[in-house]
Amino acid sequence: MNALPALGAALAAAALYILAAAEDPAAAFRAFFVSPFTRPAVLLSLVEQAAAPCLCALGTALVFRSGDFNLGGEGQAYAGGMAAVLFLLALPGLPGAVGLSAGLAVGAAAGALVGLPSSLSRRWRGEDVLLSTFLVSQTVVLILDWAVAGPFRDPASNLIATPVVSGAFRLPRLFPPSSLSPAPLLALAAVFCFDRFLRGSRRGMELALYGRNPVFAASIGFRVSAYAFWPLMVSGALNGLAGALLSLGANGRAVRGLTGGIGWNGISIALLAGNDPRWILPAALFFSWLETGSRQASILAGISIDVGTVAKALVLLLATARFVRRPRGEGGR
Amino acid sequence: MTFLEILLSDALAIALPILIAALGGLFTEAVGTLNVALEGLIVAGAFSFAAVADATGSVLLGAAAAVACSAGLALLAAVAADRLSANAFVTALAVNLLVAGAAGIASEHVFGTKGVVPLDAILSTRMDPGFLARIPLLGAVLFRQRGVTYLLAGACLAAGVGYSATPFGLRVRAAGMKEGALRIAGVDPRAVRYGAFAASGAACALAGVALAGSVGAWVPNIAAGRGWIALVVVYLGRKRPAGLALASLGFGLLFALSNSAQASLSLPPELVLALPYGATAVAALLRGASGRDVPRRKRDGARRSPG
Repeated sequence: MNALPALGAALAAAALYILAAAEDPAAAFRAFFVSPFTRPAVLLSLVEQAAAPCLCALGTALVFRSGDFNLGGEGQAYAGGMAAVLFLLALPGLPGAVGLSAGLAVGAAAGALVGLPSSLSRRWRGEDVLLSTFLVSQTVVLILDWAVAGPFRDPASNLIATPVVSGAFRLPRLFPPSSLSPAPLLALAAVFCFDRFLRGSRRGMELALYGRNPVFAASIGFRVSAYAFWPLMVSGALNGLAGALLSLGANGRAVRGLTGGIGWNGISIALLAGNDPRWILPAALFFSWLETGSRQASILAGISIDVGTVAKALVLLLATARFVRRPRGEGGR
Repeated sequence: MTFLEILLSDALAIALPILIAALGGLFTEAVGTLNVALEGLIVAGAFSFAAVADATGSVLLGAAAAVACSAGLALLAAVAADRLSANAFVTALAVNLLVAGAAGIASEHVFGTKGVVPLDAILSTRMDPGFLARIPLLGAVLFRQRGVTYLLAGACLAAGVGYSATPFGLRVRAAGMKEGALRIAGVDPRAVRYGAFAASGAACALAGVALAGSVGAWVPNIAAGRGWIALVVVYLGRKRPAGLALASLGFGLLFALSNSAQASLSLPPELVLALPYGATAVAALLRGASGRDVPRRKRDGARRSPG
């Protein structure tokens, strides 16, 4: 229920902007709010687009539960997308399904690797991961921007991108012309596992307690060093997996800036869902709708595509707000 | 000018926008919630400066609009966090995202493009004070800067003194350390927190004014990471104004060196840009200053996130 004002503000901002700026507000309204649902291909692509951010949000939520922020999603996902493609370009002879699975695994490992320095620094030096994840990620993004444009660039392409991997390694499209692939199923399975872990397992409960009060968790004998280390590694792996899904999905290659803000979206989605895995998929679908809607409105009705970004910003602004004060002593400060 | 003169002069010009933003961040860190929206606030300041100065023909009005806009946005984040018990860190991230989207929309409506808009009227020219400029080394470094650099130098000095030696600065520091003491003294801690956030917005606005003024154009994403580097400067400078100045000058020198390396050795610009981030990352990873067994207020904020 806490999420409703955030959702309302985002939609109201989009509607107000359309009213103020569109030449034909009715057409722009239809394009933004209705058109994503009227054509099956657009709707299925909307679902596909929610899958990768959903994985990012699950990892982010896990790190939140452990009391920290992973701000490195962009670099982790970029590394995953790039590593999966480079791996499959290096081993073109693998059988299709094996190659695809291995590519996704390599992507996840690369994402985790980008998270590793921050994890180690938190585990051994007690450092906040908040700044270090962002800085490591930003360094990685810039290095990969260079790598895509330089040594790994496909000289035959107009895009700043690597060569395309063999068609057998690309995510299969289930219902062309929509971009729907098995990725949303993977996201759904991940949601289920996270929900079981966080709500139904002893370790999940311990993790949440550690996140709320690390000193208490340590004093009653939890293995806090593990909880300081693993959540960020898992989050990095999920971001890397999301990046690999992006590069092996739409393009079959790593394009410069392939992540397009997915790491930041992951944070917003996790917050909108209140870090509850059960709400992360709906929240990811909502974000995907905002993106699809603003894109449709910019194509069909000449509206600035940035209206989607503003709507997402309002979600983030209000996502953690409490409009109904909780009674003292319960959850609050 | 000699290589050294160019290098030091560039280093100073690069360091000051980072320093003023970092000093703004210091005020918010002192009240207990570091404002991570510095990046967005710089962009907001630069855009409102460019738009209003272009529309009115007055750089002063432009600068005033920049301060009003960025301070207002910073207050928005602070008030949302305070009145709605939202997470202050998250609302500040939201301001970054809001500015990224809104600047694009506003640029399309004001300038008719989302790209670079050259505006000769806002270009701040280099000083040429005659004989002073001919002093070896110092002349080039101190007396041949752009006008906005002197504006920033004054602002940094004022912010540093304001933080260390004024009643408001004392209250800001007290708000983070012992809020109760403020109440007993009859000061509303909430007003002090809002004041600190507004100050951080105003400081970032000046950084934005200087960035737009030194290139004489509105450039999308004009802050280019400086707001994030300013946050690290707050920590690397050990939360003291003089320390912040040292850290900023260090980064200024690093950037200036990488700029000149770019020109002479034709290194890829991405790798040169990665250098300061990488160096800062290593510093942040190894800082070793904060122990987890002493939870700080900032971290309490993180833990209070729902779920």
